Amino acid sequence: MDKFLFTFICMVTLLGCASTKTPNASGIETKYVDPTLESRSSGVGLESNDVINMTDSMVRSILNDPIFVNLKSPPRILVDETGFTLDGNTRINRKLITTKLRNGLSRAAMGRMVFVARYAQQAIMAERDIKRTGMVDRGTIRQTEATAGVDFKLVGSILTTDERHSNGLTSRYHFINFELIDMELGVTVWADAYELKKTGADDVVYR
Amino acid sequence: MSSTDSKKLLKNSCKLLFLCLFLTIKQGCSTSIPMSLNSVQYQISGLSDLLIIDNVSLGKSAVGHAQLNMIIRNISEKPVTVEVNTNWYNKDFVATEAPSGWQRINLSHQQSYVLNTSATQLSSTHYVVNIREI
Repeated sequence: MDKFLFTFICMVTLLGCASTKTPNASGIETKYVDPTLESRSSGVGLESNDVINMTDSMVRSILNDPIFVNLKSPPRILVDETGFTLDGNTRINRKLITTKLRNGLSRAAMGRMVFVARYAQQAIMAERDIKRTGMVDRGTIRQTEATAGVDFKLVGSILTTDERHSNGLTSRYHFINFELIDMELGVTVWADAYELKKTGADDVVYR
Repeated sequence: MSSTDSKKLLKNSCKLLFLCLFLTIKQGCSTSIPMSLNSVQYQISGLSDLLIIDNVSLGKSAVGHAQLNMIIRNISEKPVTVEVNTNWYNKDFVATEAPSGWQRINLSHQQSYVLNTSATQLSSTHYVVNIREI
């Protein structure tokens, strides 16, 4: 009888410890938030809405520049983080900006410009090698002597300056510069910038 | 017709009349205004009392895309911060490209801002501008 009572008490105790259906019920519930909205944190760095608005603004600026209108064939453009520098106190993944920009341009350009996938060069070379050794067939489209050379490369920089106020707040001014460089002649064919200034407690850690 | 039947008929007629009256009032109180092409939509009621949209013109950019220009003026006595985005459509109200990002505009009292935005597709011929307050 004592054994039965002990087992019963154990079972009741275990049932009481069973987790509820809501994950992390005792903590703060995870929510999806609109990335285009201003962050609720009080940081002075670049956030999702800044990246989205900045890249959209640059896509519109590039696609409305007459420099690309009279070209005989769609220009080959390289947009990656290799020419995009971070010269300031803001911590941001540069690849996030260049990838979002390339993605936006690629979707909106609809063949008016093509994007050189230099970031996948190693994989491209490996595939070309196994095609040429006969390990796999030639594919269905074509074979070329070489991979695509770049006509224009996007370069840029994130520049910042900070101000510390006596009340403990910090202001940060961002100047994010974008340029397209003619990779044969070596001149800038398009340039634009995105500016913003934020004031806050600067107690947010950006990773 | 018996008196019970007439009472029933009167009761049902009253119910129907009440329902009609309720629906008419509800329709009259409805605030939803259908969205139209080439318009400015305020996402918060009352924002239209703070701002004036002026000199709206729809032209062409250097590459032939639709280009929208408008002046947004803060007519209130307090600073207003708004975000503006533009959606582009063809004449049949079909979206032709992704909506633009939300551009933040800080307007001190009585200040004006010239909004200048361009489409990215030749098929984008009409716009709807959304304005929300921060």
